[in-house]
Amino acid sequence: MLDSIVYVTMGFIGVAMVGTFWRLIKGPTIVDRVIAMDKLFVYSIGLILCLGMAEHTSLYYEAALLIATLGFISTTAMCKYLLRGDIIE
Amino acid sequence: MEYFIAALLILAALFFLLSGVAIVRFKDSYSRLHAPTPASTLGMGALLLAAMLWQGSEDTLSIKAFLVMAVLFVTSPISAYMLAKTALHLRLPLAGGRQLPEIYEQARNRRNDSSKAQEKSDQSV
Repeated sequence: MLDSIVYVTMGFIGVAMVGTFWRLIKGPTIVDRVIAMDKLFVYSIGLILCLGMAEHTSLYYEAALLIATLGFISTTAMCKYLLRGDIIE
Repeated sequence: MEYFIAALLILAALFFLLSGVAIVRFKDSYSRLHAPTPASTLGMGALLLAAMLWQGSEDTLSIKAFLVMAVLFVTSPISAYMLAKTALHLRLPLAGGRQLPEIYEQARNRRNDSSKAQEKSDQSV
């Protein structure tokens, strides 16, 4: 039962990723695109965790941790660039 | 325990789907910023709790899932704050083209005040 629920969760996350990707392409302003990119990082973490649960392995947690850290850093760098026109002053 | 994990997974899936719909349907950048926040807090929280219990049912309680949850819970409010400040800095309008001149000026002046205070402290040193 749990395996099929994990696959259903992966499908729901996939639908959400499609919507967010549409917003990443269409988004009228640059802030919408940065928000969509940030949320795509979160969805990919959820997808990777679901994959780890489906395959009964704890190998993917490091990848999820790396993606979480890099997503935060890239969002912050993008915001700093838009705020000040420079990342490291 | 199995039903509890199943309920957590379904809750996480519903929150993810809800935020995916919200980021498509909402009208301006500020509501698009606030809409997907439940996905990164409640959705990821439920999913990682399910992952921890899932691992725990097999060998031992997984500390790595807790680490991912801690990183996400610390970093997601900071990035949301930075995004909101960027949206105010770029003077983005609300839905329907409404502007918020006082709040734009507040968001810009606060930065100027802090830089002035830093200049003063530099001069005093």
